[in-house]
Amino acid sequence: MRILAAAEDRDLARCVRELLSDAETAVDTVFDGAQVLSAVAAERYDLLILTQSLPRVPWETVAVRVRATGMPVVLLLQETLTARRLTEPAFNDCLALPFLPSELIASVRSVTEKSRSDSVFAVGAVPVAVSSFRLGGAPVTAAELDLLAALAAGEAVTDDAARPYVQALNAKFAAQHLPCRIRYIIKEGYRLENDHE
Amino acid sequence: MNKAEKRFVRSAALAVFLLLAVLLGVINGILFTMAARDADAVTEMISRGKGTFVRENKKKAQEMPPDMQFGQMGPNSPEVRSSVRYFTVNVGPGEIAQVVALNVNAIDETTAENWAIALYASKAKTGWTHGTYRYRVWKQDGSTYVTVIDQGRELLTAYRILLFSVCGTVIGVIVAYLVLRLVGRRIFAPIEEADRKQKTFISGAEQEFKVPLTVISAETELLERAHGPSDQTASIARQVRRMNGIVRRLGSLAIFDESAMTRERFSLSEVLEEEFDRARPRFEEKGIALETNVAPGILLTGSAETLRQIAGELIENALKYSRTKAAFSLSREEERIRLTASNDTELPAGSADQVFDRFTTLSNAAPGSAGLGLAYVKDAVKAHNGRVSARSEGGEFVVGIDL
Repeated sequence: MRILAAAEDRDLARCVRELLSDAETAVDTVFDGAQVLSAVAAERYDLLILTQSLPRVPWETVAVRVRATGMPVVLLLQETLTARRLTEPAFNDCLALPFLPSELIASVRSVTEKSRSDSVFAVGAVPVAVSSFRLGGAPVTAAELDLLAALAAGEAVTDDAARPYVQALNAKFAAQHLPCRIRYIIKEGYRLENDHE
Repeated sequence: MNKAEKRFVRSAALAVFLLLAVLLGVINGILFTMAARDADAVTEMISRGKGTFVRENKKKAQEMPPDMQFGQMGPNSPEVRSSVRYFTVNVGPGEIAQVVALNVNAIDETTAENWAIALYASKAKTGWTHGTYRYRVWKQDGSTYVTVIDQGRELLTAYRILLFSVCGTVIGVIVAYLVLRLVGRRIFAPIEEADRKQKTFISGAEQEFKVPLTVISAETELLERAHGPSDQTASIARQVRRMNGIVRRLGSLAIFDESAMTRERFSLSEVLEEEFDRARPRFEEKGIALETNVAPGILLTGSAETLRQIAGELIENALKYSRTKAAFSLSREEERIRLTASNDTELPAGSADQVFDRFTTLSNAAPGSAGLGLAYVKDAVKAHNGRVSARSEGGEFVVGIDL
């Protein structure tokens, strides 16, 4: 697997490279937005990891262009994660700084596994192909896909960290007029419900 | 203008209004009381002259009582006798009116008799009638007399002063408001600047800490991979995790951004039920008895997300400090919504008011506490036009929020 890591801070870029490099994974590092775009045009990568502060070309422009090629993107988020940030994500997963090495490794594994996955599940009447990172017409993140898969399987989710994803997913259901909604059921947790029920 | 500046300008303008209103109110009250007293002095004088002023000898200055000499003003002026317009009616013992004196242009005999009968029937001894007329009902030799004098000219002066007072108050308050707005800006500019600098510093510091902390924890992990774990690397990892927690809280709590808040009508009861229910396992894990009492169907216009965060901070606080029990309640009391969080923490004496100060931690604070949670709660509640309060008594700490 080949990963491209982009960060203005060279120490951070090096740490990402060393944490992820192993026998099966090679990581290249670049330090600004323009370098990302030229590296992606020249070589084939399986994943882009980038921070929000990138000189020359803003990270959002870089992420949108890279995602358009079908290559997954993990954002190292410097701002606080909010549901608003998740409504139109230009990334497949995000990891709020400061993060622990184990969190970075888990995020990379989650995104790459999903991008190669052929699993499909249904939310209401809408089929969700995991590898597409889309719910109908809306882009979703890896964490949202995990949450959706658990809810679609009829599980009740009690994880405290799910809250911003619940809100973002409900906004995506509403924006596409999908007849479902994630609700909190007292003494159970979050459950996926069909609106007409 | 920010909220504090608005409050300052409003309360200072209100103080100016109250000052002017009280001062001019008292002055006008005294003026009108004195006008009535002067008029009563004149009607009394007329009653002493048996219902009239009689001038007997036009060649000689009239003999005056000792308090009514040349040069005196008001009712003691000797010229009162010729300038006062009045009439006196004898309403007799059997209410058959008879005019004794009629020295007034606007009223004829019949009208004077009618007024006198009506005033006699009213049973009052003195008073105002028909706007500017002052009357006195008096008795002499078994008969009852009613004397009425016209005080129109005297009252005109008093009414003019009243009008000027009202205009003066209005103009005074407007001028004070405009001056206060100018002064307020000068007073509050340094305070706003200090607040802005504090926020810039916090958000700058928070951003600046994120990358180094990530690098430190990554390097520690890489060291452990290369040389195996040691007490030192474990300690670094622990401290980094603690710093990570503080930095994350700085980001979400140090600066409450009211402009980013989206307002909507939502069920506060449902939001709080959910937050308390989600937190229940954490209370059970720590052996803290959790009691919640959320009244159903309470709606609020505001930011549901912010209220979730407020609840979250109250929950974190309760988890950190409760010894054996914590309680939350939501109720509606008339127009106010009241959210209360209480737990069995003993606060250092007299420190309950400090719990809402940013970066203030009390001597019993939990390790790693930055003094941000309740400061955030205070700002967020204020953005919903609410109030926070805290008290500590009998081994119980209570935070009250009125929305």
